[in-house]
Amino acid sequence: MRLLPAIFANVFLFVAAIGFGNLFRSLIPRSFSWLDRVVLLLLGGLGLLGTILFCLGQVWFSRAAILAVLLVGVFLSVRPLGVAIRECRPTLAKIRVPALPAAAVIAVLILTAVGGLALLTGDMNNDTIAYHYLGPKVWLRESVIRPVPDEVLTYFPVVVETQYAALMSMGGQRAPGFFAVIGLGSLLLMTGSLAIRLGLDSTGAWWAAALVASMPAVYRGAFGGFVDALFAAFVLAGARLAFDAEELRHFALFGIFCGFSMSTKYTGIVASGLLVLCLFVVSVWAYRRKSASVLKWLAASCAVAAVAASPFYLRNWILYGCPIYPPPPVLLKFFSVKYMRPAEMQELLRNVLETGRGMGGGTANFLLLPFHLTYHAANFRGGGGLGLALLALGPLGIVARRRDPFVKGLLLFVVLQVGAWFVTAQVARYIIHIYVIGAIFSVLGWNYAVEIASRNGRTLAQAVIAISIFYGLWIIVLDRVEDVHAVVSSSFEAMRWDRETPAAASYDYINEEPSVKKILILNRGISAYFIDKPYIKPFGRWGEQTLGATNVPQVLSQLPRLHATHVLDVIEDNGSFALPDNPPGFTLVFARTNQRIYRIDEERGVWSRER
Amino acid sequence: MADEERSQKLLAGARLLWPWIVELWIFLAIAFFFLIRVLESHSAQRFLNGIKSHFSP
Repeated sequence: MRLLPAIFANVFLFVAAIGFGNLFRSLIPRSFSWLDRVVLLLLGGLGLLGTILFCLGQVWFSRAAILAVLLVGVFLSVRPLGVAIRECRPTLAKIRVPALPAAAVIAVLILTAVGGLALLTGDMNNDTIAYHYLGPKVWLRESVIRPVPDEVLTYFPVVVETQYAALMSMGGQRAPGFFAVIGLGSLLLMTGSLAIRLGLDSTGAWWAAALVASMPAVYRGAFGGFVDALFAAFVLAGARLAFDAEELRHFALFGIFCGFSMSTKYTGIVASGLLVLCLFVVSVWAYRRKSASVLKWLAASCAVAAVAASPFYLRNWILYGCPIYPPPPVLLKFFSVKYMRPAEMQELLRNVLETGRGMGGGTANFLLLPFHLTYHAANFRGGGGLGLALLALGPLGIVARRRDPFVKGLLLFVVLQVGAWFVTAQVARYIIHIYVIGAIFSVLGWNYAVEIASRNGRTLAQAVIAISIFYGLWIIVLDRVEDVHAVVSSSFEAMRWDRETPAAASYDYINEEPSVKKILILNRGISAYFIDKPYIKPFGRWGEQTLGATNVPQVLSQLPRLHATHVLDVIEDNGSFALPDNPPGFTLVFARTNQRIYRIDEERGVWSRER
Repeated sequence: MADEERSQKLLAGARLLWPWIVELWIFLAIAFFFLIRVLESHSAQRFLNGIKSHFSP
C-alpha cells in the first residue's frame, strides 16, 4: 500500500503529459513514423507540463493548483490516447521483438521501477538530496516556486523538478524516484526512433536500446532524481527533427525541443546553439538549400526556443539580476547580480573546475577521449563507464553510413558537442545524448562487421555487444540491489536510513515531535531535504549566508525575529559542535552521537538581545 | 595505363586488407577492455594479490 500512491501519481502525470504533448501533433512532419510521433508527443508533453507548472507556481503552487493543471492534461489526452491505442495494435503486431535485447531493456526498466520506489538516503554529496528534491519539497511547503536561499543550485532551470514537486504532492516522497521509469523510457523510445531513422531495422533498434539501457554512465543520469537522461532525450528530439525539417512548423518544433533542453539544464544552451549551427551547415552544404531561407527558418527556431525557455531565465533575470544564475564570470560584466557574494561564486567555480577536470585538457587528451571514456570512465565520474561497443564498433557504423546527410549533420554535432563538453566540464553524465548516438552507430557497425568480416570477425563483434551489455547490467544491478532490497523489506529500509544518512535520528525526532515548529540548522552539511517542517539554514554549502550573518553568534543574536523553536547542531568537520556545551537559554531535548537538538527557551531571546 | 593498373591493384589489396583491420581493431578493443577494466578492478586485484601471496616464498 505504501508504494501505490507513488505509482498512481506517475501514471497520472504520464497521461497528463501525453495530453499536453498532443498540442504539438500538427507540428510533427507527416513522414514521421508512429514511434517518432509517440516519443515526440511524450517529450513535448513533459516539457510543456513542467513549464506550465513552473509559470503557475510563481504565484500559486498548492496541491489544488497542481491537480488542476494535471486534470487539464488528462482531459486533453482522452482523444489522442484512444486514437493511439487503436493505431498501436496493428503497428505492434508488425513489430518483431527480439528476445535478448528486449530482455535486457525490460530487466533494466523493472529494476528502475522497483528500485525507484525506495526512499532516498545519503548526504549532501548527492545532488538529488542537495537540490533536485530540496527545491520541490520547499516549494510545496511554501505554496510558491522560489529558489531555496541556502542552496544556490536551486536557481537552475527546473522543468523536470516542477514535475517532481507534482509527484511529491500527489504520491509522497517515493514518487519522484519512480519517475525514472518515464525518463529512461522516453530516452529509450528516442533511441529507437533515431536508430530507425539512421537505417536500422526494429531488431537493430532494440539492440541499440539495450546498449543504452545497460550503459552505466547513461543509467547514472537516469535514476534517483537526476535529470540528465530526460535532458538528453530533449536534445535528441531536437536533433531528430532538425536534420529532417523541411517546413517552418518543423523548425518551430525543433525550437520547442531546444527550449525544453534549456529549461532542463544550462548546458542545453550550448547543445541548442550547436544544433542550430549544424543544421545550418547541413542544410546549405548537404541539402543544397539557399542560405537566406535557412537563416530565416533558423531565426524562427531560435525565437521559439527562447520563448519556450523564457519563464526560467526571465524569472532569474527579474528577481535575481541575471538570467543564468549562478552567473558564469563572463556575464558579470553585463548583469548586476543580486544576493550572491563573490566568495560563493569562487567556491562554485572551483567546484565546477574540480569535478569537470576529467583526464585533463589539450589536443592529445581530446583525441584520446574515446579511449579514456571507455577505459577510465571513473575519471569522468562515469560510474561503470560506457561499455565497449562505442569504441569497438561505433567507428565502423560511421564508415557504413558516412554518405547520409542526416548522419553528417549528427556527426558534426557530436564532434562540436564533445569539444564544448571537453573545454567546460568533463562529467560523463552531461553528454548522455552523445552515448545514445554512439550506441546506434555501434549497432550499425556491428551490422557492417557482419557484412564484411570473416566468421571470426562476426564472433568478435558479437562478443563486443555481449560484453557491453552484460558488464553494464552487472554494474547497474550492483548499484541498485540495495534500493530493491529496501523496497521489499521495511526493516532493511529503516536500517539503511540510519546507516547511510548522517543525523538520521535527528531528522526523525524533528519530523515526529509536535513541539518542533521551526528548526534552526547551524551546520552547512545538514540535508534540509529530510526535514518536513519549516527551517532556517543561515549557512549554505557554497558559502551562502541567508541571514547576512557570518558566524553562529551573529545568527543567535537574530533569534528573536527568526521564530525558531529548536536548534539542530551536529559535529562539524573541525570536530566540534557549533554551540558550546550547555549553552544558556537552550534546553537539550535530544542527543545522539554527534547530534544534538535544543529547544530555544523563552528567555533566550532576551539573553541574546542583552549580549 | 600502368598507373591505373597499379591503383586498381592497390584498391583490391586494400579491400582484401580492410576486413582484417576491422577484426584487429575489434580484437584489440576487447583485449584492452579485459586488461584495463577487468584486471584493474578491485575484485581482480584482490584475486591476483591472493595468487601472488600464495606462490611467493
